[in-house]
Amino acid sequence: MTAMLYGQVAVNALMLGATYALIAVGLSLVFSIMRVIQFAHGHLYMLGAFCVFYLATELGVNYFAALFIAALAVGVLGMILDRVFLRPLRGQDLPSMIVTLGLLLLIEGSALLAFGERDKRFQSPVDGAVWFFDTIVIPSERLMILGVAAPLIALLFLFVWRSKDGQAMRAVAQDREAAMLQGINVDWISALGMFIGSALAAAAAGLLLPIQVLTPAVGGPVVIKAFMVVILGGLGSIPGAVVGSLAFGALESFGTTFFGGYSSLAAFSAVMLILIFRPRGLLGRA
Amino acid sequence: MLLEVNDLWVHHGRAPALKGVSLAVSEGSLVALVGPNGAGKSTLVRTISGLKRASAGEILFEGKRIDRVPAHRIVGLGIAHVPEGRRVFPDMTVYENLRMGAYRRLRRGKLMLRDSAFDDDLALTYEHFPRLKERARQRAGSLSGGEQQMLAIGRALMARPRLLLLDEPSIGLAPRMVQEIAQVIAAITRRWRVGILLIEQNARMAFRIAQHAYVLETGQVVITGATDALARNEEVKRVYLG
Ligand SMILES: Nc1ncnc2c1ncn2[C@@H]1O[C@H](COP(=O)(O)OP(=O)(O)O)[C@@H](O)[C@H]1O
Ligand SMILES: [Mg+2]
Repeated sequence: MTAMLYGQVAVNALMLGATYALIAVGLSLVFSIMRVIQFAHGHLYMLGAFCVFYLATELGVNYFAALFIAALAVGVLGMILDRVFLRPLRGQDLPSMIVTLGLLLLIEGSALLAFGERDKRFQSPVDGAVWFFDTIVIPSERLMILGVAAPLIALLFLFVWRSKDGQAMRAVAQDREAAMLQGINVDWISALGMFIGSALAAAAAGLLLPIQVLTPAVGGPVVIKAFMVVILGGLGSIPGAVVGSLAFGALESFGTTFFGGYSSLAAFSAVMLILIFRPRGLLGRA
Repeated sequence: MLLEVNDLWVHHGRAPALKGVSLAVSEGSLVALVGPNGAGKSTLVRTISGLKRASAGEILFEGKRIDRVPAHRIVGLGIAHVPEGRRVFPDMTVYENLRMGAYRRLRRGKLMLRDSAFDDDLALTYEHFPRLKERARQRAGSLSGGEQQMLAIGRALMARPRLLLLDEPSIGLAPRMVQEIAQVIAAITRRWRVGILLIEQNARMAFRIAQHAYVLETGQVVITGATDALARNEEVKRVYLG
């Protein structure tokens, strides 16, 4: 009985952690490149969720194809937002952040007009459950979420540490001017960072769609949580965002089991406590 | 002429930092630029490499205007800039920093694979700086100041430049390290036939290895000439070599 409970809580924690990581990594990536907290990140997540919802329910697109299309579309939208709103303010961090706050309001307002405020529920593309060791039973959709999110994070790591553009991103994050002197086009790298960050947020939104209720208001709490996670892991650090997400997922998952409705409060308090003793975050550099 | 700067004016906000500076570097020569703090030396090289925009005047590289070219295109033309304060990528390894120097020449997806042209350049760079080879897997941020300076110069060499801009490479280094850096700079001009514009506070060191020098004060060239002649100039001796 207890093995079953702990097993389920652990898988749940991993699943939550992996999806938070998809969201938080984008926020952290954009911050590390542009020194801007992209406050509308959660609202791009929300748009991704609606994208998957309508593609799958109205147009009958296969769920996984819908995920892919939504990620691509929201990624391109992120790139456009960067080109139109952030690029003219490049290097001016504060005005840029105000602009992303404005975008947050703009997107939420437009989404309310377009999609209405009524809750939407999404039929899970997979059903049933899987048994492990005859004791732990995990709903299939949670395994599916984990099964898509984890490889996506692995791909991101491969990209950032092994590809030419990924190395350029790390260079820009460490010293923007020195990066330009090596021939790196910072505008292109910023646009690419926005594409990747936004696309991953949309993918996470689509993945969580079967187990969440969708309204235009989901963006706000998402960006707050992602920001929390990024601070916990170390602002601007990609591995930090993943570690912070897994830690936060675990706190929340165990919190739900043992504190019920107070789980978020418990998790946020735990994060505060960790930050008091380690202000630069788990993997942040001083 | 490799590099030609004509009547260049540059402002920081309203304040002029360069007030009609002219200067030239010929192929494969070593030119020193000395002057007190705040004279505008860094502003000059930052404008050459596109980090800063000129308000008037022109910059020509191999006969072509480059003063409107964006910073990330400059290195591709053949100009590598070793900025003041070294500015290596601290969280990358020494090897990764050297790869960033060759960034523009590597094809997409090529960074993880080995590339024979890249390996040749790497071997040459390691020849000048054997210590970088020993430290290849170390974080650049963990190197000593002198090693970081070597890395910054090595990274610039990886771009295969025809003009190298060095902004105060000896600052903050122990005397022995200054000697070592000076020797390497002299060796680089001979070996790679690259023109060098060397900014130095340490005029004694710069005059020893350079053929020609400019003295910059409050945004203007006040004296210029061959270094052996300048080294006998009473005014220069008193202020810069005294
Ligand atoms: N980013 C900046 N903003 C405003 N003023 C600057 C900036 N950089 C340099 N200056 C000013 O321009 C002048 C020249 O500076 P600089 O080119 O760094 O001189 P040097 O390299 O010879 O010490 C100085 O008066 C300095 O205060
Ligand atoms: Mg300077």
